[in-house]
Amino acid sequence: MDKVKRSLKTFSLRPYFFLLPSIFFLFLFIIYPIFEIIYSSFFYITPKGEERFVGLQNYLDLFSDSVFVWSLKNTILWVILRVTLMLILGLGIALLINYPFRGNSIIETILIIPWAMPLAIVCYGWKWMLNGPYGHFNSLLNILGLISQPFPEWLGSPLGAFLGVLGVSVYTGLPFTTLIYLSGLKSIPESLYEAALIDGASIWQRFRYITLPQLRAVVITIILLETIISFGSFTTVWIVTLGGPLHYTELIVTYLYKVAFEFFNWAKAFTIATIGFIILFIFSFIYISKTWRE
Amino acid sequence: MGEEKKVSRRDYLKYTGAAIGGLVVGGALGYLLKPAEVIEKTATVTIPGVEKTVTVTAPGVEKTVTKTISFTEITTTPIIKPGKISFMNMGGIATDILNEIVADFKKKFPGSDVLLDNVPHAQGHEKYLTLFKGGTPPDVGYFLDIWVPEFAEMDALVALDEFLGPTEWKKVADEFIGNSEDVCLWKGKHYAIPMYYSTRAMLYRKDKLEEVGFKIPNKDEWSYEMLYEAVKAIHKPEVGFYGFGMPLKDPKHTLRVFCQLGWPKGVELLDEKGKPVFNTQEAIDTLEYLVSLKPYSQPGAETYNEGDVYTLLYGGKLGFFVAGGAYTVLYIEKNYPELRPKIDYALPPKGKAGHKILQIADVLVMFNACKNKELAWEFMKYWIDPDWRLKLDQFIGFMPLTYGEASKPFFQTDFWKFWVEIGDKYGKFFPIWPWWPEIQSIIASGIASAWMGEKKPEDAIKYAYDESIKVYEKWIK
Repeated sequence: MDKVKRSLKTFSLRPYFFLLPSIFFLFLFIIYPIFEIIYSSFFYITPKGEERFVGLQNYLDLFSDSVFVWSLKNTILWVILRVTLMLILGLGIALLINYPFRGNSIIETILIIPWAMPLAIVCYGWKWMLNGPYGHFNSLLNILGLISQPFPEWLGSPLGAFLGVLGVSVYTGLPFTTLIYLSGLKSIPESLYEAALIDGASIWQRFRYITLPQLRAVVITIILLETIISFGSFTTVWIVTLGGPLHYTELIVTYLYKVAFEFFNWAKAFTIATIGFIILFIFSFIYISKTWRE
Repeated sequence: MGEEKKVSRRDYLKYTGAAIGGLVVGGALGYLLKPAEVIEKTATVTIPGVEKTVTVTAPGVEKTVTKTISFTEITTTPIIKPGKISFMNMGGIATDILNEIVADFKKKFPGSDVLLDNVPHAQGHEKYLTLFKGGTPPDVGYFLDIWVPEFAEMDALVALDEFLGPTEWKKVADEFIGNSEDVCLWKGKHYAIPMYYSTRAMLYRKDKLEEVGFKIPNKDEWSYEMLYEAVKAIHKPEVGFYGFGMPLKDPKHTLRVFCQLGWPKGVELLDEKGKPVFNTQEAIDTLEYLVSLKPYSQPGAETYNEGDVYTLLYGGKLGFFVAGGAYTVLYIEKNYPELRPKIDYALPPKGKAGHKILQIADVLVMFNACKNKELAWEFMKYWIDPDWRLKLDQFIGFMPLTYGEASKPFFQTDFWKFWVEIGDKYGKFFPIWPWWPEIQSIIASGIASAWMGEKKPEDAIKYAYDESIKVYEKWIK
């Protein structure tokens, strides 16, 4: 009781008053649009903006739309593959760079390039490199004697397109993951490795019993962050394949864009956005609760 | 409290008299100094026997001129206030001529200006949509014809009938080659004026056909069998040369090829009410025919949009493209002169429905948010002025939009006569309905699925039809 009385005595409105502007903008630009989108997903909307309440009909319609279901499956596969590749390749490169050798700073700088360049430019570059008749990739394979005319169109087959665009996305996102890993690696006390060396631990044992456990928090952060980023991979897919061929690289975000801005079906777009939001919210919630705990 | 001052009856009379006198003098001065209304009015006069419309702006124009010439029609336009209007161009088309138009416009309407903006074609639709929804659309915009109904449905566009009465519209519309007026209409109102116009036909490498000894028919004598044989004969994938160009990345480009091949066979996509009607044997036949050309097409057609197919053509790697037009031929002439003698053009194959070719019109619209509609309209009129039109079309390499323009010496060549004539005789536009973009995407998906061997042509058409009907019913509801 005393505690309550004491806390009431010390309670001040002043900090909340200072927070008001931030809260206002937070509501205006984040909370309000989210609720507006969720609310609108329960309406049929005419081009003139007239709304008619339809309950869950938009959701039922959406799940009977084969392209949406396809794009949802694609998105799940995309997220799993992209995050896995990021985790493994990022760690590999970070370990390599972290190893003290002459010139590792140069590699570190080179690694930043895909990240430092505008994403759209990188994507256009890759799109043309993977082009059939004019692409550098095919020219190189031709010089090496691995392919001959007619040159394959890598982005033209379902598997090629998916892997191609995934490769471009990993290429552009890898520096970020590597840097997070590097910061984690640099924070591991050197004394742990020294003690392990004295005990006669092999490289693998040092990696397995020191590096990996010490990087646990970093790995979880990368998984969660990359899941969120992968889920919203719009630019890469849009520029490289436009969701094609035949929706084989269609993700929820690219389909959402088409539905909203090409087909002009606002109600459906709001419904897709709501589903996307729910999925992302779960991951964001896990991430936030995890970082708060730590 | 001070002592109240008393006002005598004499003072009352004095002040009242002064006030009335002041009002009378002021009113008289105001009346005398008021400018004559007619001074700032513009009279448009049509002189019988002379096929020219003269626009005169001068003090007292109505009285003076009416006495000397007999007019069939006089219309007065409201006073045009100077101001600023904004214009959204697309793809940076004709920027040089556009600057000339703006300079002329500023001279004609002192104190006025045009703010120019530009958006790439591929992003045009999204840009207009977001600008409109954000409440900041341009005053005048360069549109694709298929967007008109969609934006008109949103009450985004000004019905231009208020500027051109029915008689004037008739006159202007009769002037357009190939019924370009149709793409400006939505629910009986004109929401646009045609801006640029082109017809698509078939471009091919005649040198390659001659090399293999293929007997090239006359321009209007190609049959489906001939096209197939020709494509097959010149396809040489081992040297990176492909017989038939197919774009499958962008739905509208896919549909351009499909329609060019399907319309002559009697395929109709939507009926006069916009309802999908392509669940026909003709549509299946067309798709089967298209798929039969796949072995002679460039690999990975799914990644090609129209521009990419053109790149193949310009790079000397393509035999046939059935969606090329006059603009492409001129582009090759200018940028790849060594290729030009090797390329020829013809009508796509003739089917049971005769010849049909795709027409595409870009249009000019005015947004409802425009504050100075009269001024914006004056700006739009440059695109229906024959002299400015000629300048624009000459500069860009587009076809003449009106018969008046087509009769100019510049267009009196066999090349231009061919394109004008086929547009006039066989031209057909894409369906113009608000739900067309979504249906177009569905049909393109069906075509792609058949092309990639995922569905049989009949299943692909059925799938596309069923999905399209759902879209149509949703809109109608």
